[in-house]
Amino acid sequence: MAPDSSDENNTFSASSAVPQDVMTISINNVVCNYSLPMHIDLRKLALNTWNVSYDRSGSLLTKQKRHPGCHVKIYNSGKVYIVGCKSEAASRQAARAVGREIQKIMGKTDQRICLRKFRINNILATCKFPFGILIDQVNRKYPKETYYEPELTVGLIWRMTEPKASIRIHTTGTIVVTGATSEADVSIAVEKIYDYVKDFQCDSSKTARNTREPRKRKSASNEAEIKRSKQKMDNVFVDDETSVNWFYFPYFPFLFICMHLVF
Amino acid sequence: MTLNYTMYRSTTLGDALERTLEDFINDGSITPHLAKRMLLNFDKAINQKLNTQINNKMQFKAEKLQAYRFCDNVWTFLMKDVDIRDPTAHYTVTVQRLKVVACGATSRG
Repeated sequence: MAPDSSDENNTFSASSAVPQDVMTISINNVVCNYSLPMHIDLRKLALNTWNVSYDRSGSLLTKQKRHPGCHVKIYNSGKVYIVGCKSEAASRQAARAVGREIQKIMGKTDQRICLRKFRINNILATCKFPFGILIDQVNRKYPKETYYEPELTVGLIWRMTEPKASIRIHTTGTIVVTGATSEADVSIAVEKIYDYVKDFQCDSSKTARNTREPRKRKSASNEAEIKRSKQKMDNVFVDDETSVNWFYFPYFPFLFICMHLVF
Repeated sequence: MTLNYTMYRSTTLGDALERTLEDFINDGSITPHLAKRMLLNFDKAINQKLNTQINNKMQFKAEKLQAYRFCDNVWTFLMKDVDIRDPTAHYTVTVQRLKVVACGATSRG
């Protein structure tokens, strides 16, 4: 009835919120680094740990962890970089696990070792909007914030300053957020982009490549003639008779194609 | 005297040699110095033979690489459920755990 319909109207008009149940933001990579307040003997660490690779020439030890899956780079100054975790919490967990391993092997279990200056450098996340986006129009409307060079990259790059992030927008509706420093920032960035971009919606099937008509090849007759002429060209070189040229002269298509090749 | 990898002393052959030498030392028939010389000779011989004369190739494929380590130019792999195949002899062995220790090959061979 009337109240119900007005309620429905209210919900539709009031919701400028992103329909989060439709679009899921998947975080693909979290990069963090921290430093341990001690000098690390990389060789000792390499000999007593598995899944490590220590090149003598560098001062760098690389390690891989299974849970949570990530790559770790350790320097003998105590700096540690962790790449490849799928969430902030996992990154933190990995950082503490690595710190604990180093503490054990260096024999400093009696002291309290803290992770100094733990910082998440970069989060890479992707999201797919359920509609296509006309990115050249977006570029025209917001020339300051966006950068679109179709010959260089497929997507449009939007540099956002509010949550500091760099966002790639593709015509299929895929959004890639890089350079964000926290998961909250990522969601804010996606919401902001949604607000900017929802005016430039288009049917995603129109921008999809599959619906483009397949390019037609040239007509078959022409092709067959080209083939025939090629065979004849071979024969011309094999026979060493001067009368050969006169023999092939009446074949008009052969001459026509020859002229094409010359020009 | 050039140094050779001493890792072959822990193989079955090397182990047998070491134990025999130990027995001789305990009997008193050879000096420990001589035993060390013999082991060095063994290193030289086995390195030379393995590099030049032995051409058997075996293939192995494992279900899982459990762990790896690369330190001091030595690779150590721990593998689980390995199928070792000798292509010429059509011979397959399945092993639950396999440990591979690989040292870098010298250029002299």
